[in-house]
Amino acid sequence: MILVSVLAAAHAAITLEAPPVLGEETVVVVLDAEGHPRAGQTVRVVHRRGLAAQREFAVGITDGRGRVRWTPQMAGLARVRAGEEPLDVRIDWTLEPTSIPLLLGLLSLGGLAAFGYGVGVGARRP
Amino acid sequence: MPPPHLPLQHPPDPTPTAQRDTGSSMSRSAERAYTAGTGALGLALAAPAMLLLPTLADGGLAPLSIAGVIALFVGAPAAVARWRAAPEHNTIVSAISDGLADLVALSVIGASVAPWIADAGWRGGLLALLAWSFAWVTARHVLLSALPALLAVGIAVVAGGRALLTEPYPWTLLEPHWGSWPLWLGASVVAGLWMGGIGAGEWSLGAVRRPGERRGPWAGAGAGLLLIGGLAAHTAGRLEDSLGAIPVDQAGHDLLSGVIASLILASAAATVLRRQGPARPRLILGVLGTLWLAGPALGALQLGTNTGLPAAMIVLCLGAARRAVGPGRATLVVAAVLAAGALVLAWPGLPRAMVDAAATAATLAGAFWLVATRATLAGRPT
Repeated sequence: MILVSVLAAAHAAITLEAPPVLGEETVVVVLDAEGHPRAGQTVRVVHRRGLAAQREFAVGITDGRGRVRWTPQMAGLARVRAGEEPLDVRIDWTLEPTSIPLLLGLLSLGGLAAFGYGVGVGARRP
Repeated sequence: MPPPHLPLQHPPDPTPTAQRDTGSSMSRSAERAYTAGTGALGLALAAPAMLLLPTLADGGLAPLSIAGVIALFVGAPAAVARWRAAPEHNTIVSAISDGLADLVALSVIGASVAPWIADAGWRGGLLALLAWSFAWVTARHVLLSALPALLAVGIAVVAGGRALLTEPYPWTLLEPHWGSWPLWLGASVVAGLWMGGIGAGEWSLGAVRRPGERRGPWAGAGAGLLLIGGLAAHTAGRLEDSLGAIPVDQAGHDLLSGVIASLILASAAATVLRRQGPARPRLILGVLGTLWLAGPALGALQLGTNTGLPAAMIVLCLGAARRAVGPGRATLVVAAVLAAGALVLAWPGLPRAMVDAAATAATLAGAFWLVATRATLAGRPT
């Protein structure tokens, strides 16, 4: 019996009812290898795995239908885990962040300006 | 055949010989002039920007931004100040300074590309040999030798642009994290200072200062920013496309990044081979040094990059500050202070593995030998 449980846990499948969006509720569904709901399974989420500001949150425990409600608290890449089973997801921003492209644009403009000056745009030839 | 000495494409130095030998200032018009060779040389110096890629995981765009600000407001101005400072001639101090600049240039170039060469195994070693061979053949032609770097920057910008314009947008890796500064600030300062070519001797090695070189450091800093911006976006795009399945430290190590690293190596190596003095020993040292850093010394690379390079920069900046005047002196002192800060912040600790400790000791011994030999030869009566 224990062996069967372990094997079933190893082949559990995690699905989401809707693509995850920051601040919007979705439902995590955990099924076993045969497609039956897995009740009582603890679901956790790791945001920004392996990156700065990595955070781990407990989502909850699945009900009798293998479901648990989840409202993502951080946008970007995350890993949802139910037991040993992982599901890599991307949590969309409600509004695309402007600060990141702005900073990248400033860096590129600064680089372009310095490079242009360095290779002599507008310079007198000797 | 490649040159044993300086390239022939630079126009003759208009500074009168007596003025050059005493190290006094170049005429204002000559200093303001521009040569395409200088811009090309600057472009080839974008290599240190590659040092920033590993900091992406720790701070996103934050370390790149700080490095950019430091490159544009301290690194490049300090490199110009070092170029303007009258060089010393035929003294033991100048021999040590030139030897240190040679060593630092070889180390920066090797350290910038070593992770990619190591990742590719024997193919990486072959690519490194090809890159150094290309540099040897094209060293005489400043513009030709800078073409690989131009291509590398172009590829990085196009790849980065593609990643930014296609969904899913790669914001996860790029999101700046200023609060985690203890993890990345030291490495960011080191890369920012090197992106202007300061200390590597490109703008100060030897007695001759050529017209227009004043602009070169800006080309290096600008090309470096474009290169790392493009590479960062491309890396972030790969991570986002894989939904994080690729390990973060491997996201920036694909075929495209390897090609960019090889191209950058080819151009940067040519800048070293083009310097005053015999080129052949530099070629041998360059090839062996690159393979050494990508092979046995890879585990000690972080220690060398985070402590050896800033320490050398402090010596070179303070040495030049002694001779500089006015704002140039202040800029050089600021660069030295920043390098000292980076030395403290980026200290990664002593190597734990025996093999890394042995590699560190061997690298230190080799570095000391290289500089001491130059000093000893300079001290000999002729």
